[in-house]
Amino acid sequence: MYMKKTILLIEDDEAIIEIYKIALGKAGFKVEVISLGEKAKEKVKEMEQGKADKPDLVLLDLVLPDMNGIKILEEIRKQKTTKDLPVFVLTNYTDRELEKIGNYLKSERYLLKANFTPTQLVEIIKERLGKKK
Amino acid sequence: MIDYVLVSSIIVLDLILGLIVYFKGRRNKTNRAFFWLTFFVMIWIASNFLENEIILQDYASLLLKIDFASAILLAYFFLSFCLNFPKSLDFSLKKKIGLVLLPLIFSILSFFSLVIKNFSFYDSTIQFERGMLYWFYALILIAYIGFGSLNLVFKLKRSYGIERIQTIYILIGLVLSAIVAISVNLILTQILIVPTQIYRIGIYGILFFVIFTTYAIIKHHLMNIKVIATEFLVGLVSLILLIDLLLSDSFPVAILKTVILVIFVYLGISLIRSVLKEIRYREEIKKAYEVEKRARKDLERLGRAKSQFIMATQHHLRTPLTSMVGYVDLILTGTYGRVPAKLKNIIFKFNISTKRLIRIVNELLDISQFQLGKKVVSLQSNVRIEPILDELMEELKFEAEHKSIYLKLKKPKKISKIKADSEKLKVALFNIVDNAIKYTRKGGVTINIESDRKLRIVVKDTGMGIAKEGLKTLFQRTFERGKEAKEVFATGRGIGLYITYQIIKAHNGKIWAESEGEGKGSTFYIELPVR
Repeated sequence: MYMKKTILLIEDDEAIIEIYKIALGKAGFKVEVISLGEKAKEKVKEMEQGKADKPDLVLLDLVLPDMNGIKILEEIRKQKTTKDLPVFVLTNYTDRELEKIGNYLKSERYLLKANFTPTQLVEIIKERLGKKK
Repeated sequence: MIDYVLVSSIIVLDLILGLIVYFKGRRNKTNRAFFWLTFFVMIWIASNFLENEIILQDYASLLLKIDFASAILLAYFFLSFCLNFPKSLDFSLKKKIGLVLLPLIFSILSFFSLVIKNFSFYDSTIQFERGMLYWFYALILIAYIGFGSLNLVFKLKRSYGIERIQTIYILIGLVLSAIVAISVNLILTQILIVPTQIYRIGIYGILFFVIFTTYAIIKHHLMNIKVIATEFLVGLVSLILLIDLLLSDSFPVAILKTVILVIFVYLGISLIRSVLKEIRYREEIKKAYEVEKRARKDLERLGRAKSQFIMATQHHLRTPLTSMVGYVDLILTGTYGRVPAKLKNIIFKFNISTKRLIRIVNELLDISQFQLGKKVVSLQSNVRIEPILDELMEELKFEAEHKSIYLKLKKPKKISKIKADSEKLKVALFNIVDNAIKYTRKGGVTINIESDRKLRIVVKDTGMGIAKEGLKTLFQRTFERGKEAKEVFATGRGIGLYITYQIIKAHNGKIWAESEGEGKGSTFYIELPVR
């Protein structure tokens, strides 16, 4: 039943992109990858204008080459179309301040990448998208 | 007589101020230039005063020449002072010679008939005729004073704060003195025949400059003003007492005045000393405060640098580990095809090592955060402990099996929910159970959960136990491990229990250990509030 679900992966590390793409693809998700913050913000604007499809869930890295992922989260929450979009922050920073900001901007999970195997991540996503919020 | 007292007081005052400024900063060019300026002011005042004294008429022409010779040098040191105020300048030798050459030549020429000549007396005042180079002399004198003044005006435009105030003071003093001296001594004498009393006003006028400049130089050391004011007052009163003593009518009165003078000087010196002591004390406090302020800033900077370093380390260490865990997971879940059993076993071991490495990295980073006083734990409400325990059992059962010891979990059917940070609590429990397995050779480890008003987790092992002395500091040591622990498990990190303690503390919980002694096993208790 997860076949049609789309995950937007905003991440810049090539190895991590490859791993998550394979694991999520294997689980039946359609994965779209964006590696730059500016592009991600543009994508959110396109969603608002109806030019791009809205994903079912966003996996958002906090450290991108051109900006902090929090800026993208802000943009997502700013737009009407995406303001309720489920976002999981995926990072390797254990910073409670960042986590608090993430919580304030309604990121549903703050996951430490190194602590989760792709299988575990897929399970968490399946669990989230399986139930309506 | 009053003239003598007045001029003597001015000379002494001028000399005292010059010496004070000089001794406040002997190495400072500004202070040195000011001292020489006051020195030539003194010579100029003395010669100017004495040249009109009838009793010294035989020496009047010489005194007048000294007057002119010192005045031009005074102008040079005035310029030198202005150029070096408020900050000393480094001039090349050529420039220095260039500046001093003309005043020096004219100072020497003042002793010949080229500047002034044919001296005479009119109404007890010495008169002279202009020499060939008189106007050159006057021009150089005015140019040096003028250039020095303009330099100060120029600096005034660019200066601000205390420097600006200092420059203003000097300029006020200068303008007042220059107006009086130049108009009376240089110009008026050439227009009218002026009586001695008026002629001498020029001398007294110089006091404006000396006093204002002294004040300006010491202004930026406000604390020192108190000392200088005290020194000045004591000096002045002593001088008055001395003059009074010299003018005594009878011997007994003179003795009495001498006693008064001695007592006053003694008390005056004591007063200066006590003021100096107070200032030194204040300066020490100020210095100590500055040192403390600097140290605090250094610490803050160090803290920030450490924080940034830890943030960078988090990213750089964990990112490759994420890839390692990720690829291994993909291999083990058959993404790249079926893995032969033998290879799978190796990859499985590799996976365990990688996860251990992640735990070590997490602990090291957490410990740094704890030590920086950062909040590492983020508490969530209604957390169930069962999944945490299940994951723990799943991960550690292989370790126990590998050592052929048991690992049991006993829990009641219903366990209260708690307010916790699942990930961190898992780390804390993992450390306790992992340690218990590590240091148990025979028997095993039992985890008992008691859920009542509080949630209590009891981890009991049949291992090597803990000596009584070790129990007291068990959770306080970082990178230090017990002697027994080193013998059994040589490569431990000595941070697990410290981290565990910090995590439980952040959960508002309690942790302690009991042991009957070495070789008799240990029991660890963790108590967490129920929410």
